[in-house]
Amino acid sequence: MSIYSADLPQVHAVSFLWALPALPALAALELALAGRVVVRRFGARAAGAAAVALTGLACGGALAAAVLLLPIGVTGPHVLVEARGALVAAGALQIAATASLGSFSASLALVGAFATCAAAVAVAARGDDDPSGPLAAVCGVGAGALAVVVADDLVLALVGWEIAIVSTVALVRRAPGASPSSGAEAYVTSRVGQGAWLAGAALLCWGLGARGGDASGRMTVTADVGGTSGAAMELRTLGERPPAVSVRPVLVGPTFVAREIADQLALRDDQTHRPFADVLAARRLGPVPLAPVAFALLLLGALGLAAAVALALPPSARSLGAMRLAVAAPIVASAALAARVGGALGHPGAIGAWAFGAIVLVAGGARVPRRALRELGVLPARDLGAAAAWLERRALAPAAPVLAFVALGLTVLLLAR
Amino acid sequence: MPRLALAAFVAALITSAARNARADGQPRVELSPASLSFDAPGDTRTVLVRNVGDAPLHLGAISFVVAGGRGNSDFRVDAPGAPVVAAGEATAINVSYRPVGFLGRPAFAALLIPADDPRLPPDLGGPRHLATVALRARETHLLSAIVFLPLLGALLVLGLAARPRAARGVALAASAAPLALAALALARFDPTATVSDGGFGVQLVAHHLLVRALDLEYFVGVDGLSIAFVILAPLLGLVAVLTAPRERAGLAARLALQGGASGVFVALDGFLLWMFWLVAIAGAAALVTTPLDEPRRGPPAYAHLAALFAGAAILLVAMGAARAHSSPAYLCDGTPSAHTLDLLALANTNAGASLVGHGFGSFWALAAAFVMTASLFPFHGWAAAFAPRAPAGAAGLVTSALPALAIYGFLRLALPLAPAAALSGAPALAALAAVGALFAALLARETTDVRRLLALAGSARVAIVLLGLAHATSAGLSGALAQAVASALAATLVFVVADAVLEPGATLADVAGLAARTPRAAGALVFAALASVGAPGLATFVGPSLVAADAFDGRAVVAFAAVIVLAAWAIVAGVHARVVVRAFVEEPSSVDAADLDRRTLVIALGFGVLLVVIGLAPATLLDLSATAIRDLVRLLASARD
Repeated sequence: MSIYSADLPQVHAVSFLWALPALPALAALELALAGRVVVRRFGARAAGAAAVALTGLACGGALAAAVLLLPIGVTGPHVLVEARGALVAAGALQIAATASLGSFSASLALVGAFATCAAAVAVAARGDDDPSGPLAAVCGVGAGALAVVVADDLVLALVGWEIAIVSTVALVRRAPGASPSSGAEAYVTSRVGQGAWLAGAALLCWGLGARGGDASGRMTVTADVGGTSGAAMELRTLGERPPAVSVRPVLVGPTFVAREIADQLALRDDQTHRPFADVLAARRLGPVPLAPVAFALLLLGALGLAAAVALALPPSARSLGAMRLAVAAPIVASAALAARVGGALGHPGAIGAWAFGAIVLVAGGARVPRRALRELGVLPARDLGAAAAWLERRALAPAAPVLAFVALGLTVLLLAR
Repeated sequence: MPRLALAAFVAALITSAARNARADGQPRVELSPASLSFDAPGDTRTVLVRNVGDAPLHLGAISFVVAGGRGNSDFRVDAPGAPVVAAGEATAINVSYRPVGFLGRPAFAALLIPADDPRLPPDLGGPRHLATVALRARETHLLSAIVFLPLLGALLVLGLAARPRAARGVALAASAAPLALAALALARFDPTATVSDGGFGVQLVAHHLLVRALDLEYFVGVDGLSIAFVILAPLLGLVAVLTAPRERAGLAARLALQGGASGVFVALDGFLLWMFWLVAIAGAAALVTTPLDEPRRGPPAYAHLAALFAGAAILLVAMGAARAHSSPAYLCDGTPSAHTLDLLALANTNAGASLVGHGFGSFWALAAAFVMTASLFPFHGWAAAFAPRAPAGAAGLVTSALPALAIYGFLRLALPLAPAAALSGAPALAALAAVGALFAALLARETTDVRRLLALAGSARVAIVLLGLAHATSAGLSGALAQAVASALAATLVFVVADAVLEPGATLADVAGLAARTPRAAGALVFAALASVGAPGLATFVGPSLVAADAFDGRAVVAFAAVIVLAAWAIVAGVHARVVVRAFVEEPSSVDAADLDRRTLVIALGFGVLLVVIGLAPATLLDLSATAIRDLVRLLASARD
């Protein structure tokens, strides 16, 4: 099946890809476990300074890694940055974790790392005597979000999600002005969200004809290509890799999935070098009939986690743009997950689901996470509105005539030669 | 005496020149008449070819060229005349008008008579020389009347200094008569005519050569892309004149804008279109800079004019570039020309192909010009700044007519002249739409001035059009066109109602409790707000739903832009909802508000009916343009291949 050889991705094995989730995770762990000991030993002020420094190093490191990985991730349509490692290796139980970045998730990783840094700066700027607790929580949320972004299999994605949930609850409980029940509220909403996206992922895998996962948790799909050849394809539904062809003589008969895949592969020629090529490559795997439902569920999951994070925001910090980024991080991570699982970010159903979510966000219609939705939807709109008005007053209105004549000059340069 | 001597000298010079001309041993062609007009099928006319030289004249095989360069000629040569004409002799050529297919179509062609007179212009790409005769059948000046009546009216109004009442009467007549003529044009318009019917599917044509040296033609006609706008312009103009204060300059400016806009919508020659564009912009500029009385007084918005006039200048440069890169073509009288600005020929024949190299620059230059004119991001400032200070009736006209001009410009110029660049630039256009819609929505959310809010909502509405243009499918383009027309109607309605109900500079606080004080005015305001945001069942809902329905089926960038535009639409809807809630729920403010006068009520009712009819039966509007949109999509598809 040499015609598919062009689809095999070029893989760069870059082990520092792990730095993205691991550095914030280690920092969170260290701050959570050793924070009190350090305070007792060296005093709150010194411990606070050390916590800020450690967080800066960890988040800065993750940001640097994301910056370094970005050029590799976006070089071509079939280029992956990959790292493998064993999560659990105890006798018969072998669970490996694979992380990879394509062009789309490389961009998301950069956004996520930046959001974590910004949130850490916002917490540090509050000037608490000992900010190690909130900083640990921020690092944890960042680590969880980044783990979801880079996860190439279900296990790592789940681990990342768990870290995000735990950290969120911690952040909420430690936030100044938080109500006693807000921790529980955050826990429940994020769990509901997790259930929703798991259901979405399961639906998609089922729709794709998944036959279950292997030991590493990687979903595999074995389908006959067009029903004519003895070769079969192995699709990694959680990966950004375009379908690789294996020579295993497995035939599962012509299914609707096989037809879909064959149809989608016919679009291969259209996959030229362009940004976000991995999304386009993933689009070839869709659409599957259940994609809209699955996306709606995934979106609910994203909203659940985002709502939980929003609950964590202390009133004093609500106007901080950095905190908005902290809210955006899990949304971004969930979007990445949705894109990778569904493989059809531009699918009409997916877009419909996102649009519905956006309208829900703006309108703030849901009752349970109303406060969180208010934070998510209305306050950013107010901030954005104020920013737009400022931009209009200070920059656009004065510059419009100049801009008009610059456009005229450019036109003359371009056309009147 | 010296005068007599001079006259004698000149006469001697002329006689000698004439003698020399005739005595050079060459044949010389004289045609009479230079053009033939036909009224009904079967009509036959005769052209006399006279040889006034002093050598035998040899004529070649007679052929036709259809104005615009493509299509079937509806004319036949019944008698081709003698192939050789002796010196001093003449031969007659009989031409008859025998239309085939679509009979209502006016026919324009030129008779090409190859002759060996070296003074005649050489044919395109060949050594032979051509004598040409323009042929016209069923020419109509209906569209010319729609364009020039308001312009004449504007001049008359300016001249009636001593009689303000008469000025108003003249203005009313000059803006109302074109509306009646536009209705007649609509009645005579056949929406099923396509490009393949010949004459590029353009109807009600008038086609004459204006300046041979510049290849400038007076070429007006209407097709599916423009018919809705041709009706729209007089309608907007009439409302603007009806609601205008009795002030001559303002009336003349409104008429100029109406006439200029009508001219843009019917012009099919690039330079002619630009001249009408300039007239329309000048009318708008006069309105924008009108000095105002208290309490609307402020510095005239000269700064904002930069965008309008820079846009016009860019359009001129782009037209010049299009002409410079056009292929040689025949003018309407058959004269071979190295260049053409016939927009239909540029778009539909090989002439446009040479633009491909310059397509990128042309498309984005045109797009920049239209974005400036339509008050879209980042040039949205002028409409938002002008609306709160505009004289009564002017805000509605300017914020509805100029975006309509710009959108029509996209449909008539930017997409057909540079289709490849339009397709490759679609993501950027969609991104511009998204940013523009969101920015306008956020600014609308921030403002407290009702008129500014309405102007910004208009910018957000027009951004949806841009999205439809980016997603250049039948549904996208139909949606864009429908939204352009509906948005203009809505903009006019909201400003007519706002001007009648609210004091100048009214804020949201002034709307509070309006329903309790003036229920009729509050009802009109609510309806206007619904029209402004595009409530289902109204015309402004048709375009966005068409655009949105199709936007998720193509490129991911366009789909994402659509999500952002929809989110912006939700914000705009929220802002309008705030106005409505204030009007109905809150306690009345202390500011007095006038109830609707009868004139405003009639206008609001008329526009309301129009918006509801189009909203409930969108086919009334969409069917007019369906064929033309299909042709445009086909043109774009061929560029994609």
